[in-house]
Amino acid sequence: MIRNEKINSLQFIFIIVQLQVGVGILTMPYDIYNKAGGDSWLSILLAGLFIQVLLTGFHFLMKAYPNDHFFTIIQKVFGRVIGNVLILIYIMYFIVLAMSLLSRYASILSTWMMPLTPKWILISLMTVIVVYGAMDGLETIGRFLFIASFILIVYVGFSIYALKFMQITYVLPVLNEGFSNMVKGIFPSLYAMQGFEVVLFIYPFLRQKSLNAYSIATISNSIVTLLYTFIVFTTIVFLSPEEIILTPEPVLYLVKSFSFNMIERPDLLFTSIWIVFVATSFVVLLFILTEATHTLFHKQNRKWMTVFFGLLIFLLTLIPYGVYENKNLFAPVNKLIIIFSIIIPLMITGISLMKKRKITHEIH
Amino acid sequence: MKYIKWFILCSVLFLVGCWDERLLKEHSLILTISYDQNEKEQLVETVTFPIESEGEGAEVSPTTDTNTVSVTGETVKDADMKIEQYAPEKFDRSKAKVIFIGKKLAEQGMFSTLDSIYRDLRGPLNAQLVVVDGEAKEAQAIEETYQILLSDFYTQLIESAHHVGLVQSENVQSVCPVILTEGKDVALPYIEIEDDGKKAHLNGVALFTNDQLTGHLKSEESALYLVLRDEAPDQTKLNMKIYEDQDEHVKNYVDFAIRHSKRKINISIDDDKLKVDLQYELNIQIDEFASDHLQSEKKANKLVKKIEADLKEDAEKIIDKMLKANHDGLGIGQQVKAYEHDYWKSVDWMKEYPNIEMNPSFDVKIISHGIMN
Repeated sequence: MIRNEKINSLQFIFIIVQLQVGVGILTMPYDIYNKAGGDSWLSILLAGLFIQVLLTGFHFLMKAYPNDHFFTIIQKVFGRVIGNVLILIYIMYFIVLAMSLLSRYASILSTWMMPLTPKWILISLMTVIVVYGAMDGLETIGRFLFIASFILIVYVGFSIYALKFMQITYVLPVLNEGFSNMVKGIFPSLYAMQGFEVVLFIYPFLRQKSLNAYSIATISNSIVTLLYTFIVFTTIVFLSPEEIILTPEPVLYLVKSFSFNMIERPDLLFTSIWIVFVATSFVVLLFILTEATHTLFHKQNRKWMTVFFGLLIFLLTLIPYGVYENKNLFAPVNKLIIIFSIIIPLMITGISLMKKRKITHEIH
Repeated sequence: MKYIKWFILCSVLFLVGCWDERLLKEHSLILTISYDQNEKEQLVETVTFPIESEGEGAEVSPTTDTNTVSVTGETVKDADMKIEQYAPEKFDRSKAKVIFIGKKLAEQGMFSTLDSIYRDLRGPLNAQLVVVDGEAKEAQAIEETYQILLSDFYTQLIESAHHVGLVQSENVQSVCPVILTEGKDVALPYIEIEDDGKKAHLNGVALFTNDQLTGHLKSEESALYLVLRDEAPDQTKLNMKIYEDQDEHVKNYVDFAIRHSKRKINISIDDDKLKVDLQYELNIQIDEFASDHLQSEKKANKLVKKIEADLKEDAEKIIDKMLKANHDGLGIGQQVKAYEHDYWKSVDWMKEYPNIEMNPSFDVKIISHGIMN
């Protein structure tokens, strides 16, 4: 049913990590801070724990259907008609996700680097590169994402430098915003960590080795959780509480305030690095989209499908204009994540497990 | 061939030019900016930029002369626009090195003035912030700059003073979190103009409450103030009068450098009154002590006791001034918030701070007295 492409465990890890670390990495501390204050880093840790629980649930699904990915599972569980409708809904969901990604990318880039460059230039450059990267299938994507992951080290390096000026009293006393606020902070954390469900789409492509998909997903989840916790923590102890609330992209603001001997504007360098994160997330989204149409139509020209989706997303993203329009249009997208990445996959896991049990029951 | 054709066709799309290019040859770089407030509460902005040297090619030598433009506007951006109307150049402030704030404006609060810089993606966040006694533009009009650019003169003045522990070197970004934080305040270098506006010198630090200037410490006090803040560099030099009655005037004094310092803050609450114990451990090196004879430990100990007592006395005076100015430079509020959170929540810190009790104490150790006893 699915194509014969294989990726190794390292590529598997970084496909998940790179999808999760997208646009959100710049804005995440702000979003979480608004809810959880000085305890934001605890919220992230809790969200990581929650995702681990989800992954454990997914583990059973992956075990039950070792040779299918999420879309083919949907077809098997719900049958052709309902299954295909659900897949279509998923296609729309991923298109909206990609739009929100591209649109946020364009608005951050234009506020921080190129205020006069028109939006269509910014997003068309990105779309061309991403379509080119996604055209050749998962193996190429895996290799590219693995190489691109080295910039995570640069990213962390910049943030470590900020710890030199940290003010630990900003996070003390721990839990001073109250337990309930910390729990509320889990939601924005989950939005920022969106992308973990990609494990369901790529696990059948994993080359069989000693580690199974679940353990590898655990590794990538730990990487992302720790990375995010670190970045949120750094941001909070560097910027004062009142300052974070004023800066929607606190991580960039933090880097902007440094000046080294050689580099006067490290934030420009930092933004350029971050563009790679956007591209990698986008590549994976395009891959999932073509995988969905592949499941629907069985026969397709992957290259032209990628170009089609790229063009579609590009054109749709041109519509919203200005800070507030973007914000209003894409704020609800975050809520969709809860439905499509958590509730539906869990539901399918439950249904498929019941079905399997029934079948084994009948056999015995 | 087919691919090349496509490639060329696609490239044309992106060869339409660059929107965000800013060419150096088209801009005049502003080196220093000053902000003042006039009687009508309007903003007076003065900028200096280097005079382009004449001569061609290799003969161009770096200039040390600067031009000055001063305009009045309602806001910073309004004034910026007016500057364009007065001078032929197109200005770029992103490389400004020093920003002067006039005393009057500082007393009103300076955060609103800085707003446009924080908002601007090319804002000069690394510019040094300096408070000027009187009008800020006077600092740009001085004549004696020791043959270097005005902006370099001030940055170097402050940097060198920072190295010997006289002032904190603060830039636009570094003050931002502190101004916004309740429970810690900034202190900026304080410049005074002398000789009818010909010369400028540094005189201590300006004390702020949030973004408002509320007090001033002279150079003699600012070094110890930085020690109290626990931000003194390890070469801070202090001069202290310890005797009154020596036969020679110079023998009344001792000069020492702090080689290492450590601070401990103990907060206790007694009957809803906050008591703060500040304990400092200082390792010092005697730089000048005309009375001599430090070979005997007994004599040295006597000197240490004297220094400790005098430091305490001076520190109390400084703390008094800080409390009067409602300036929480030591960040006591932050400590209270972190470690006595219930108390913090129950009081209005801005009102409570002047009433707290602070007891400094010093533990001094002479670790060296130079190459002579």
